[in-house]
Amino acid sequence: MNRDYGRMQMPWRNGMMPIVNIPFRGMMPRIQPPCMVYAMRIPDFNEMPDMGTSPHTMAYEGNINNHSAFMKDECGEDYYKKDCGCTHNCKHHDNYLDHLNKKYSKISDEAKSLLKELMAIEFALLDLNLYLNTHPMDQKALDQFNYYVEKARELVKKVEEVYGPITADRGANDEWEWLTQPWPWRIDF
Amino acid sequence: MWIYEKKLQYPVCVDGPDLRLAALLYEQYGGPDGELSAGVRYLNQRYYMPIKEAEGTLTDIGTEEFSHWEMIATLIFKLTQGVSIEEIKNSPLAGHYASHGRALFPHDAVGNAWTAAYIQAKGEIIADLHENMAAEQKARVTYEHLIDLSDDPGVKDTLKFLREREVVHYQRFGEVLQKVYEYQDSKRFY
Repeated sequence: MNRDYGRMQMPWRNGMMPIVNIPFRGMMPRIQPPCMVYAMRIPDFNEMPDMGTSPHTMAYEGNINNHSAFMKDECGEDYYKKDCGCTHNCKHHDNYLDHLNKKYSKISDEAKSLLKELMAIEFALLDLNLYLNTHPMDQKALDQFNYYVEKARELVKKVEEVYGPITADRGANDEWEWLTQPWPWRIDF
Repeated sequence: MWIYEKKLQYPVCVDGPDLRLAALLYEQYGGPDGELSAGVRYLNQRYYMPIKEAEGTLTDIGTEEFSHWEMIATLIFKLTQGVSIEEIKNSPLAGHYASHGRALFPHDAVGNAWTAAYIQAKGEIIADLHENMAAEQKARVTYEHLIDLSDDPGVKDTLKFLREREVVHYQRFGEVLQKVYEYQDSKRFY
């Protein structure tokens, strides 16, 4: 790692230009492998065993707030316990929280890649915003800012078609779309 | 006011669950030089600034810090996602689990709860800008320590991004400081 000790650039007046070209992970081969390993390690939601709709199962589904430590499976084991040796289709054979997380994390590859593109552009905008706060007369930075504003405007429309609203005030159609896609912390980037 | 944007500032991905690393990352979630401290520090300071550049910079950097707080939370969330109680029992997060279960909670890497004593506001822009510049440097060093302690390439990548932001913020606060000096000089009569 290059440790430049974060020295300020001198002279002040000609402070460094913002870093607008940091390539995001996913576009960089260097970073791709761990993401792919992660994606492969956890089976897709659709490949998970059917959880069934027995009252027993529904109690789990409906009561995620119940303390997990007291929950028992069909064969009477804590559902966290792995490899109990039974032949039942118990929850503890798969990690239940993993299952739920996967359930919440459905997002198309197209949506993900457009979202990442928007994140990159919005980041460029923010970095220019900070720079312009202390260099308001820098015409080049202003031009760049306006360029990215236009880019972001176009991209937000595309993202919202495939991902849903980026902000709640973007409107709902037939359903309350604010909740239809996973929250950012549940997305496997 | 603030509006939530349903996206992270930078994509966060991890290789797999890692409770040891999650416990270490709490340093930046609720530690003295963490992102929560930074966000509260700047947004709390901005109300008495004599120049617009300072008000704007504190507002915008303070807001960015909260998006970093969200990224750290996402790292911790993903590193602890789906781990069994057996794994928690033998991890540095066992103590955390005793009080908070699977919830996140702002404390540092060794469990000290976050406190407002981590931040400062002196009501005087020169003192406060120096406080902020020092905070950015301390956060940068903390990220370097965390990068040293990480094995997960995805986590390292995110931490490097966050470290870079501390450097940029330090630069911007320095520029604001210079603006303040210019402003003070312009008020002087000879």
